[in-house]
Amino acid sequence: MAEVIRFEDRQAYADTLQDMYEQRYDVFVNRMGWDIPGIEPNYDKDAFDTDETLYLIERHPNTGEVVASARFNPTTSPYMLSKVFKRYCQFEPIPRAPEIWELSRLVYDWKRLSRDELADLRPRFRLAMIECCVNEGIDAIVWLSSLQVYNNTLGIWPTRPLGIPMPYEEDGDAYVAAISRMRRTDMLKMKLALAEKHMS
Amino acid sequence: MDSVSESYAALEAISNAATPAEVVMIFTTYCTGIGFRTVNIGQLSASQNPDAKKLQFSNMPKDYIQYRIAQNTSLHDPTLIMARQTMLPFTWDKAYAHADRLGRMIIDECRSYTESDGLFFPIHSHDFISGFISLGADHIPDDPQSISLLGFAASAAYMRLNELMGPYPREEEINLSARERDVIYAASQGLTNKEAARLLKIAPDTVKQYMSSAQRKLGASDRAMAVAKAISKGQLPY
Repeated sequence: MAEVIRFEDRQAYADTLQDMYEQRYDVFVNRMGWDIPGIEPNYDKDAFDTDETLYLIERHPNTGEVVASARFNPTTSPYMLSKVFKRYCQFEPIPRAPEIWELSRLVYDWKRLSRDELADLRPRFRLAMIECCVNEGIDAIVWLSSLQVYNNTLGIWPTRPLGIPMPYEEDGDAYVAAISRMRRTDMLKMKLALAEKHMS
Repeated sequence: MDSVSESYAALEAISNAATPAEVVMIFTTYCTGIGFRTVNIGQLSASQNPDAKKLQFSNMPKDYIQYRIAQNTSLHDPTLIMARQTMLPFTWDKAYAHADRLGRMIIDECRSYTESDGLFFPIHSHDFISGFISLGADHIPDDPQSISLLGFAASAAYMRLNELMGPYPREEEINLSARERDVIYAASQGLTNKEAARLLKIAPDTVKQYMSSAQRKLGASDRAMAVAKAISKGQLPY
């Protein structure tokens, strides 16, 4: 079951957060080859892991290791899309509102999960993300991801693009910025779909 | 209404469409409004997936569609081959430029029935069978914003169709390269590696390399099994 970690919970979850930062480094730097400025070796904690950040974390039921995580930042403070990836927002102004947050560093750690566990986790974690948003009063999330992830998201949350897809590096995959609405009705639909899947 | 607002309105209408026919109608109206006359929607999956080829719509001429089925052109269609290798849209012209002789013939045939050029949007997904939308027009917009907006509408239409008609879960696809397919095809005709090498105008060792990479992709322990698996997985034109 996914857990929400707020600033005041960080002491209690120190080990889990440590595991998450190390895992993020392994996933994004070692496996995906990202060059993240300003981080320590083997520890992906950057300028956007702030006191305002909310983390959503899922741990493996047997080992306790982090198997999925997501980072949410308010758009009323500087955030990745507003500071680093502005060029991806050509269609509308950079979103800034208390009810709009940024989702970043979404990780499913396929090394720590079997194929079946991963297939089971993804829809549960998507539900956990929308539940987290609804409970925290977040009406929409902005994010930057590959076109493949954008396409997947169309089937999950009402989503619209914020700009033209562009590669991050010259020959890399195309990335697109988008905004997805987090509606209670979609959360209930997702809950129902998951319940039906478990019953069948 | 500017083009971004128009595109947002189309995205909203597509995501609220209640039936596949409504999705196709909204999308086609949007495309024709900006100069595209033919719309072709389909899946990119290898044929071993039982859900492949279920999601298909086209307003291309019926005799052209029958020609494609009769000739089994999908295996060699350069637009479909290119779509498996990229996430970004491309023109029919671009696929034509990279095609072999057979591929160019397929595009020429398409042009003789429909438009002189077109835009091809590959739509890849982690969860569902990947797909495509191909749009024909005599004049293709060349500004990135217009093409991107069209691509977003194409993604929205394909994913909404998948939602309404499917889901069609994705399976690992086996994509043999053109050369790997050639050597397997040669083996299926009873040719030895040397004979295949002569036919394909490559070295016998190169044939062996293509054969072993094809065997690896197909999970086959020998040539005979590779041929059998390639046929059953729709990689050879049988």
